[in-house]
Amino acid sequence: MTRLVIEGLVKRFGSVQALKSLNLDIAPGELISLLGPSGCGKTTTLRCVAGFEFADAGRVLFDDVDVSVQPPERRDIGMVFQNYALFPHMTVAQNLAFGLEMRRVGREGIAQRVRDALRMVQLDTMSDRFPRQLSGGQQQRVALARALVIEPKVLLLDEPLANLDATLREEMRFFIRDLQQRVGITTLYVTHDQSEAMVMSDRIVVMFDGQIAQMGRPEQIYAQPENRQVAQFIGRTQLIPGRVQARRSEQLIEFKSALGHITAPGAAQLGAGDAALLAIRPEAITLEATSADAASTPAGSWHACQVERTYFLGGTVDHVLTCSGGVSLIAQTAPAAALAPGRSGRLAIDPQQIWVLPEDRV
Amino acid sequence: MTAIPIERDTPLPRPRTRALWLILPAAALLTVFLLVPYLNIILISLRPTVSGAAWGEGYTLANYARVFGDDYFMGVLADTVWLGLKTTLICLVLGYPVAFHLARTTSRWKGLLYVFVLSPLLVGLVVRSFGWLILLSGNGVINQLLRDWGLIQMPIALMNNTLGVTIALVHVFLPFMILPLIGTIQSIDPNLALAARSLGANGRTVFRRVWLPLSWPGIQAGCILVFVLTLSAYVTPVMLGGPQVKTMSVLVVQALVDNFRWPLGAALALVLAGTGALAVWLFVRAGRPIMRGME
Repeated sequence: MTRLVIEGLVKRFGSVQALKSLNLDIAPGELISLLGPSGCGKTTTLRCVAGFEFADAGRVLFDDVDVSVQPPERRDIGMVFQNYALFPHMTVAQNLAFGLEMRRVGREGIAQRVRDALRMVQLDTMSDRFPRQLSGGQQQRVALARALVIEPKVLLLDEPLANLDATLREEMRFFIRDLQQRVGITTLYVTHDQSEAMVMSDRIVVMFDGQIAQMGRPEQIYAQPENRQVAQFIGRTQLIPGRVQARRSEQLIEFKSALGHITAPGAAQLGAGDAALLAIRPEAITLEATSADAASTPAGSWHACQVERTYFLGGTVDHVLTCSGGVSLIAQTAPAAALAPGRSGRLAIDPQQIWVLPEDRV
Repeated sequence: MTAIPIERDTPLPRPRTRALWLILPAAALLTVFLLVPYLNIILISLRPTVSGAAWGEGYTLANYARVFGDDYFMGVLADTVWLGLKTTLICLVLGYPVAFHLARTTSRWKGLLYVFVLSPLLVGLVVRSFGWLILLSGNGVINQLLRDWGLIQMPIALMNNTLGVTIALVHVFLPFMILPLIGTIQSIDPNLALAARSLGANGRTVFRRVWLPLSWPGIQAGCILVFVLTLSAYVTPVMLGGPQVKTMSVLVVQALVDNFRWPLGAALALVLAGTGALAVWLFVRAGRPIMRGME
């Protein structure tokens, strides 16, 4: 297994700076997702690791060996493309054999390894088909097998599921993750789909504008976004502006906003008096119906609110609420607990599921 | 492990035959101006040659026996095919890099480059041949320059031989090689080359194993066009080949016009056409394994 290190990577395309000094350290066998909107530099990073682009500054190291100036064919990588890029004039078996032929593996060795790789992706019966005779999901698995059969140091995946339909995409997530862990290969995975990144990654690197906005385990990225961009990109976060009143402890912050005082966990660098944002996800809100007169006198941490609209999403129902203080919030409930539009209710916010983050000046 | 369902390929519905009438105008045109004349030529080629008339009564295979039995005719046929192969190969070697560049470039001069590629076709046949006369003749531009630079004492023979004919034919038929190649190369996914690189192939191997086989439809189309056009070329061989160079089309015109022997001329023309068709068929057959996965 290989450790992949990226040091101070800079890449310019004309006047556009696609990468602004990127640093990454990927442990052997780890799967890291590069997540971000299009144009954030995630694909450029991948292409620099692959050797399809050469960085203007910085280094790429495989196990402490600098490969920055090596062409792709010398780097020992396995790459899966968004459109699979299977050789249309070769059969499935010939596609898989290609990389082994380049490595001068003997004929028997090739046959054996191709067979094993096809069994691994459950396509052993398809070896004599041409790519165009396969479905999208099958082509995807051939591409995966072709990248893995050469036993590369690093596996690079460029939005490999983007061209599949929704059901197949979800199945393939688990399939690829499972395969990656069984093979134990260091993997860099580029995607703009956050749930894909959540399900598959050991760590997620959120990128914006050629820089890393946040890096961490999926739970961290989801629950503790470090800045507004990440909070808004991941999940459906509602940001309530306010001010830090005091630090209660290492983790806890007393925060004042239009929703009143609340004590919640928050970013370490925040101190008393700082402008900050309270991140509330729809699932952090508990919603209850109240009778008309009780609504005017909320007690404790409950806030009175009015249901404006509802959206039925299948497993859950979204409520657009207007709270006391004029704050608009979206709350999620189970369909059985849904309130009709126009009803009054009260809501409580679970302090364990919210997060205070710094208000970055943009 | 998750089981992934295997999708069944459903064939696309066949196009409706209702649209068949759309090809009627073209079919009519071909029938009147190609099929009927061709049948007529076949008939003429089977007539006996007589003096004083275009052809005699009755039918005979004597003209074909004459063509196939005569070493001179067979020699010219071989020369013509050889000229076709040479011209085609040179066009391919010269045209492929140009087509590759044009297919992949994003330069804003692309339009201008296209004009350059098409430029040989923008000049009339006779004018273009005269241009080559001026350049290639014994006291032409090239020979004078070489003499002025002291590289040669005696003029070298650049025309009135196959060399001059080949140069001029390559020049004019190059666009017929380049244009189909551009179309094919443009349709090749550049990620395939990257995929091959990632699997360990160097630039030369990528060209040999990816670009070249996937360009085959364009190579085939371009080669067939240039080959067939070269076989039937007349003005260029006559003007630049002089009296020494004889191709089949020159012989056909001689038989028809100079000697007024229509049946023999028709037989010569048909033997040339048949040879060309046979060569093309062999070529397409040979390329079939390369085309197997592509459709």
